[in-house]
Amino acid sequence: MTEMEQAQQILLELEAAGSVMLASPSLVTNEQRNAAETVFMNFRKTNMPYSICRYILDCSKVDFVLFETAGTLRDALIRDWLLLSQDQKNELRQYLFQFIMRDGNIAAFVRERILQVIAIMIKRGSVEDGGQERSNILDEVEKLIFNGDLRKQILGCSIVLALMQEYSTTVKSTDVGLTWESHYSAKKEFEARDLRRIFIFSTHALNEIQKLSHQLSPDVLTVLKHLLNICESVLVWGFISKTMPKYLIGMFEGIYNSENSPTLKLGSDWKEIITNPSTIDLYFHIYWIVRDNPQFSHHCLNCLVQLSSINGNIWTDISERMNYMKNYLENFIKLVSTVKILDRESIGISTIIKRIINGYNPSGFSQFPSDLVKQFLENTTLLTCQFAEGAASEEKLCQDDQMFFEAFNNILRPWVSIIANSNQSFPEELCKNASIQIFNTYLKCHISPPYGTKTSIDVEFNENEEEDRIANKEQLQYIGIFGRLIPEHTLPLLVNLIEGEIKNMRTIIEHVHSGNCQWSESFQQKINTIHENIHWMFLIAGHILTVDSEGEPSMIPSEIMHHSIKQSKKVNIDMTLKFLNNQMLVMDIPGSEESVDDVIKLVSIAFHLCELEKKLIEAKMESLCSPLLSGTIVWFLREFSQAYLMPNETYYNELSMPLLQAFGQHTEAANWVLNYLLNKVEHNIRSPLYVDVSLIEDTIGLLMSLVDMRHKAEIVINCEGFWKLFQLQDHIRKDQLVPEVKEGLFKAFSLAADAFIGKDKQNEYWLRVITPTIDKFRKIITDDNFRKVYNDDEVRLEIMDILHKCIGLASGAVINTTSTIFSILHPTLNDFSALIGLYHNYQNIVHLIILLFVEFSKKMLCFLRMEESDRFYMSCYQMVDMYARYNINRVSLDSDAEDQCYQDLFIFLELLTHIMSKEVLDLSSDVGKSITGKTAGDVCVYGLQVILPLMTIDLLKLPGLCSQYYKFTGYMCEMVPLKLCIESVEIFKGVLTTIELGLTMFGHEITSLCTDFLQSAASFLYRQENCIMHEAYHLLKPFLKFLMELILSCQISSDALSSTGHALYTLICCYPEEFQQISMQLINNQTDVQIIDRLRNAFTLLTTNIDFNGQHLMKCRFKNNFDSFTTNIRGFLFVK
Amino acid sequence: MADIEDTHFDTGDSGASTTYPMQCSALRKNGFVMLKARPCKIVDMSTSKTGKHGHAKVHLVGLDIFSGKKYEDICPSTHNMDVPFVKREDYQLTDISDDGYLCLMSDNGDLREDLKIPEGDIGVQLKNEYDNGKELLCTVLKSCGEECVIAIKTNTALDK
Repeated sequence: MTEMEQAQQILLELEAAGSVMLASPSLVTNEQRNAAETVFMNFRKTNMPYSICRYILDCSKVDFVLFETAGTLRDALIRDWLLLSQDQKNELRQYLFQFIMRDGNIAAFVRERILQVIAIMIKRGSVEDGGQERSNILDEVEKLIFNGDLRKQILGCSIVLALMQEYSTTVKSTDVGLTWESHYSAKKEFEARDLRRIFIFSTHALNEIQKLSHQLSPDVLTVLKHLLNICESVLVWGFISKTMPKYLIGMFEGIYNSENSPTLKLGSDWKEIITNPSTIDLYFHIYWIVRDNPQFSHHCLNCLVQLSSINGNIWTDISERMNYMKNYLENFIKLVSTVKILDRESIGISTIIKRIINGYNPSGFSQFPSDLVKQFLENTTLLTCQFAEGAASEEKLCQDDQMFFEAFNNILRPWVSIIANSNQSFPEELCKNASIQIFNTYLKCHISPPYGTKTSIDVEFNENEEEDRIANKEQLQYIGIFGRLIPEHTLPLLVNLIEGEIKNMRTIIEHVHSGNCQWSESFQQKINTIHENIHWMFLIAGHILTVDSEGEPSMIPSEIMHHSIKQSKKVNIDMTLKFLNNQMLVMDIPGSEESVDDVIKLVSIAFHLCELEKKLIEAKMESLCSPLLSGTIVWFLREFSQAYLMPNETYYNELSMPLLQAFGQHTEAANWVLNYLLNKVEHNIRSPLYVDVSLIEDTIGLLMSLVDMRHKAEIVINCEGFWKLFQLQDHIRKDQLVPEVKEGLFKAFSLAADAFIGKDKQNEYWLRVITPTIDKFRKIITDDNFRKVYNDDEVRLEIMDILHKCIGLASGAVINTTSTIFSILHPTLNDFSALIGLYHNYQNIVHLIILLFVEFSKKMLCFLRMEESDRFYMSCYQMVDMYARYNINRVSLDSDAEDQCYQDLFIFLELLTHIMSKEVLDLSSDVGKSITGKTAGDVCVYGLQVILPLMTIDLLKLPGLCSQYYKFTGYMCEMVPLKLCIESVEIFKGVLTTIELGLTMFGHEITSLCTDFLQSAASFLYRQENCIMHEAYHLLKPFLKFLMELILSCQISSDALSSTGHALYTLICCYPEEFQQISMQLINNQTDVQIIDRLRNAFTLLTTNIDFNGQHLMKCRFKNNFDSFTTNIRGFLFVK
Repeated sequence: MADIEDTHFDTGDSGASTTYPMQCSALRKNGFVMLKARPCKIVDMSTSKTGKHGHAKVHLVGLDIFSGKKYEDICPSTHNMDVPFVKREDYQLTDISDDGYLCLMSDNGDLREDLKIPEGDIGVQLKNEYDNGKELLCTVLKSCGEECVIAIKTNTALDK
């Protein structure tokens, strides 16, 4: 068959296959579709397909076939680049150029694909000639853009765009034929030689279009769009320095939106075009032209965003920069003050403001004309308010795209630094006015008339939606900042408005109470509105009064302290205290408005609402309560108590007397507040409102905040409210207290124990708190009848109750109490292990027992002395044995048997992981010697042995368990390789089986974990003397071959390649001779002479300059070779 | 949720109750509950509200512990639900009768012959292992007056 005939035949096949691929699903079977797909897959792998491809491009009229042909051409070019002569390449490129010039009607996607092929060819060529040829081509393109007809102009733009696309990405480039280093240097070369020129001529072309005064024709608009696209691509170009690590470069290159793209960093050669004021004027002018068109406007807006924040060597002269920015600001203010910003523009506009503020240090702003700064701030304030309102209406309309919401979050950020610099660069008066406006707008958007504007509360309430507190966390924090700048405005306003709502509530209650009320939809709505308003105002109040301290001790914000001090001259302390103690409201006590501290007013309102809730529940009117609002109040009280209650006075420069008298350490008033809060916790636990898990967590959180500081806990343990809590759990029916509460209460009891300084007092406390439970447990299990009654439901419930309490107690252990808690609880561990035998059929009991061990290992193990650790390890052995005895060889019919196994193993792995951490983190001051000689590592190896047979492939397919398991084994092999690889070789063997699976079966993250495991094992064995003596050495050996085969068959995802390189290096260190043999074998397996040669070369390059001595430097060097190796072999190994 | 109020169960034959009441909110995943008069294990539990400021309702999904069939129910969280007493006991397998009944011996030596070989794979495995002379331990699940073999385990020397 001649080549021509062959080409004809392929064309026919492809067109037939193409029509199958594009046929509707009802007309072709799956098999037919798969067969058609195979035709194209095979076509892609054709060797030297150039003339065939040209024939098809010339003859076929089917777009899909043309598209595939271009793809085949691209793959072949990448593969054969070095084999083709310069002439062949030039000719092919010319041909492709002509092809797209010739036919104006080819489909856009085919044209794009062919342009990509051309771009790859140009880029490849430039690597060899330093960009000479490309510059010539750009000359031609420039002529096209300025002198050609519209069609040629568009084509010219498309070529530039394809080129930029090809040069801009280096890490995830489509052209896999080059190493990353070559991609990178090609990018740098392009950037230095041609990028600026592209920007200049595109800007110039834009200017030409701007001059066209009349209505722009659709064709001109298309050119405009392309030009904007080019300019945008230049301005978001990642000018990345070589010092940046590759993965960071990859991250930068992955970002294409304006909000996140790195700020523009330009060299001094850009000065002329950028600092020319007409450039900025032009882009703003173009924006005026295109802003109505959603297809274009974002390209232009992105340009404006990037132009707002230029840095780099371009600014050697500070005044030049100031002039540039002044011009920019003037244009910007003109824009935003003339038009109403649309939702789709809002994010870009907010980003510009953010970048302007972030781009200059505050002193920079003081050098701008004050009028300009004033205008800028005023406009920013208006925009902030506008975005807040926009976000609220988006919420009301339940829109999916929340652009104003995002823009609002975005525009709030720069305010932090504006407010922080008020008085210096930004006039304080302006900032305060802005704060008042923004705060008021935000408040209005979230409450209903008459003060607010919100007219409906989530009609379509979606239970999966995040709570307001979480979803609006960031916004609320910023609103808190505004609020603290003007507390004299915000605090009285909130007090007044919340009290107004309480007044409305009273009216309603009276109405219901008097019995003349018809329950109706609108009545319910009225109640909901009140709840919603109070809920939001407390969210806001909480964020003004406290700052999220993220782990640091919470403090009274200085602005609030200052406000309180300022107010204190008029404040009547006695009245303030009375006010708080009686949960009074300003509206009920004439004259209290001035004489009571604002903070205390708010706290008193919160207390008042707690009392109201209590009364409603007592009167069986709980339907008038809102669980959500109740939770918000509890949250507010927790935040308040952390910052204000019994503050550490040494932390503050100035102190407010009213706050100190009401909440200070060693005051009656503070003790009263603490006791009040404890009573609130107790009430909530019994309350019918508190059925939702998150509400319970809030309540337990409030309790924790009262006991986790020693100076508070010292008072807590003497409070009547604390012992009421204790009695509550003791007296209430066991099954009516949810597990979270039981565990939470005992955690709190446990934490509070830290407050006792004297041993005697502490022992007395334990005797009261935990001894009864332990005694009860003993009594049950030592009862003669126990083996008969253990299965009775009452007994099982009792055992579970005790377990919850023990778990809570263990989870509250801290360094000072660990030893005591351990001595109290440890004896029960062995009893509980034994109970696994009796209760093995009750998964929930077995779970709780393992969880108790988990809490031990999580909270206490790191503080345990050697002798205590020994005892704990022995208990672990016993528990693991017991578990194994009842679970190995067991077949279950339970409908959720797999789920049970999953949960068991998951907790088990958690336990072992915590135990293992003792090998790294040992905070006990003990240097004693272990009696048993067992370490944490031994326990883990033993545990692993039990887990292995239970770990089936089906279970490993569950992602959570899978990653937990592989993380643990990797961790183990790194921490205690000797125990795993040599002392427990049978287990090692078992783990290796799972590693073999993990390398290919569960995705790239698991592959990485497995290669890490191999690396740890190999590097350990390599360091052993006479490693060949160990069985592990021989067990690990097959992995070298396995890994190499996976690499050569491209079965390792590129995301896991970097860890694979390290593992391969270490394996070669262990097995150098095998490596030689395997590579020879892999080479000889090939049949194509050319490929044999290239593969042999690739292997030689892989090991060039590398000593396989296990040293870090060599490992890194090998990794570089390995990267080139994989790039290299991918290019040629898998073609027909 | 129509018939929560009037859901009521007969007490067991011995007069002892086969269920006990529990506040809906105190139920937890992996626990048991009666759904549509069947003892079920809770495999999913979620709360929903009547509105943003409304009170919670609990949505329960359970699997019948005997048939594996799925049941669902929704209930105001303050209401009580019935929780079945669920027992699991181990027996030594001593014989299999020709008509497919198991002869089981409890811990204290009592014999019973009222349970059939379970259906499906587990039954086949049970028969095979028994025929091969292996010692077998059978777990019997009992709740609301129903009983069946739910799991088997080949006895190893380790066991008591």
